[in-house]
Amino acid sequence: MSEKSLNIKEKKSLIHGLKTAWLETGSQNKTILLFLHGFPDSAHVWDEQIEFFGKTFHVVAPMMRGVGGSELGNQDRRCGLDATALDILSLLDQVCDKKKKSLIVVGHDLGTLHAWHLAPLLGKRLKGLIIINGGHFLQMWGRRKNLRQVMKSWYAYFFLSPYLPEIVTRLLGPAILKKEIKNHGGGECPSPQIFDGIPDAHKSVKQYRQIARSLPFYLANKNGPKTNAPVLSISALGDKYLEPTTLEELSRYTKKPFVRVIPGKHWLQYEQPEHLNKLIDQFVSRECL
Amino acid sequence: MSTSTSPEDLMGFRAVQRLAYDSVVEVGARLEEGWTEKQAARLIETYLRDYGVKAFFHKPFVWFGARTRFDGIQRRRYWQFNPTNKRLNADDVVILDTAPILDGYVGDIGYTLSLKTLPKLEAALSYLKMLRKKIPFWADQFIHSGKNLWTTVDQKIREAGYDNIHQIYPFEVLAHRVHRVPLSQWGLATPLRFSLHSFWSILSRGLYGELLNSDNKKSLQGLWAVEPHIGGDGFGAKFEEILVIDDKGSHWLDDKVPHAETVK
Repeated sequence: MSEKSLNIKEKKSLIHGLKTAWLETGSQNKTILLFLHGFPDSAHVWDEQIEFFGKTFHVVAPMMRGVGGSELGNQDRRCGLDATALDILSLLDQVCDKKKKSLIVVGHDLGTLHAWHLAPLLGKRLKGLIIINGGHFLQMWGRRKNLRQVMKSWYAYFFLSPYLPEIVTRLLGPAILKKEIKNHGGGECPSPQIFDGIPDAHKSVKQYRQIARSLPFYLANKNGPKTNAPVLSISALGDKYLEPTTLEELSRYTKKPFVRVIPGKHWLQYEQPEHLNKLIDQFVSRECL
Repeated sequence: MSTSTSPEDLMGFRAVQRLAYDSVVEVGARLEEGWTEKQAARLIETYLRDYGVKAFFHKPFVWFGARTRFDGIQRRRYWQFNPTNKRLNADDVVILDTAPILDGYVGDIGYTLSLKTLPKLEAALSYLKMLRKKIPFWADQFIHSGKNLWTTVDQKIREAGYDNIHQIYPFEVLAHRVHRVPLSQWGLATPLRFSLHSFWSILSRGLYGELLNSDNKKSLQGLWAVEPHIGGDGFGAKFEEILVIDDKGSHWLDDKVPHAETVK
């Protein structure tokens, strides 16, 4: 996909003292569609979605901290949930001509944890939340007793250890991570940008430890902030890393849950871009606008 | 006790006070209906840590609605001041109060706002702005007796039809001294919102001379975090910033503070 076909710009700015980059396209007077990528991706994981929705929305897809033009700085905590949420709120101020514009948030993988953390902070601005192969922090915490889930996400426990994840992803990351992306959705994708996030994986892997530091906050607020917005969870049956989200799970965090479980793999954006676009489009049209 | 603070130290205090105000102005601008006090407090702390703060004189306090005049908070139940899961309503007054430490300098500030324009709050903020102009003058007048300054402020607040809410603070303080603190690269947090830095700062110098309340009979020279807090019908409002009292007289450390600039 050509960034020039839709006038998609990679923009940069300083946010709270750190260089921050994001992809942006679409019309300023449309509802914002905010895409949050996961690990070890970059915002380019959303290229097909940006192309499709850029005609009818104001699309914003930040590079998460440590990826591409979004520097991490010397504080690892800057890629944690609170710091990322604050950065995104500031970013939204920068990209919007109108204060406190409505938006719909889409997350994938670790991006879903950020999306859920951001959702209560958006209040009535949030018109919908779309969770793709991911889940709420407490949902993931609740699965620690689910043997199938633990076996699937063993790597996440490894990524919580100090130092080793950075060493392993730097030395072996390019080989292992490319293979994982190719085998789990990216195989047929022609875009060379699908591996864009891998050179920075040794930085973005710090998210696992930093996100885990929010555990005390979530445990102390089990009955705390959620969202009144409608939420669509899309899970791939063949996701190597995650068990599909159930309606019962999702209902704990929103009063308007919608669950779709479809055949597919972890990187649905590469594997089934048209189908994914259609699912998002239908949900947004029927429930969010 | 030194009678004047060096220009370098004044710059340090001013810088951290400005950073503290930046944090509450930014988070205040992001507030949405439904936020909890705890969420707002967390984001203020996040902002300050993003800019290098590692220690706090006290961590952020956030109060919504009637809690801005400490309704429901009983005397000496200090934990009740802590941020709660109370959610923000559209008509609520909000107070954000935080005290970061950076390079040993303490910035203790308080900021009052609302999601939408509230006439009762606008009136209270105008009154506080007037009070802000008067306090340095009264400080010069009562430089040898904090008690008289406290009593004058109390009297003026009541004459204006408001309640004195800062008398509900621990030790009924209108103000407390600020000093440069050591070991600010360490958090030294306690289970309370106040850190070991703040306990050391006040207790190592004898407690009562560090607090400006109705019992203070000592000279006022030094730096003070002054926090007049007034109460109206169902709400409270305050500001907090550093007052410099030295050989040249009394003046606010910085005039670039939001409540001095934005209240019409």
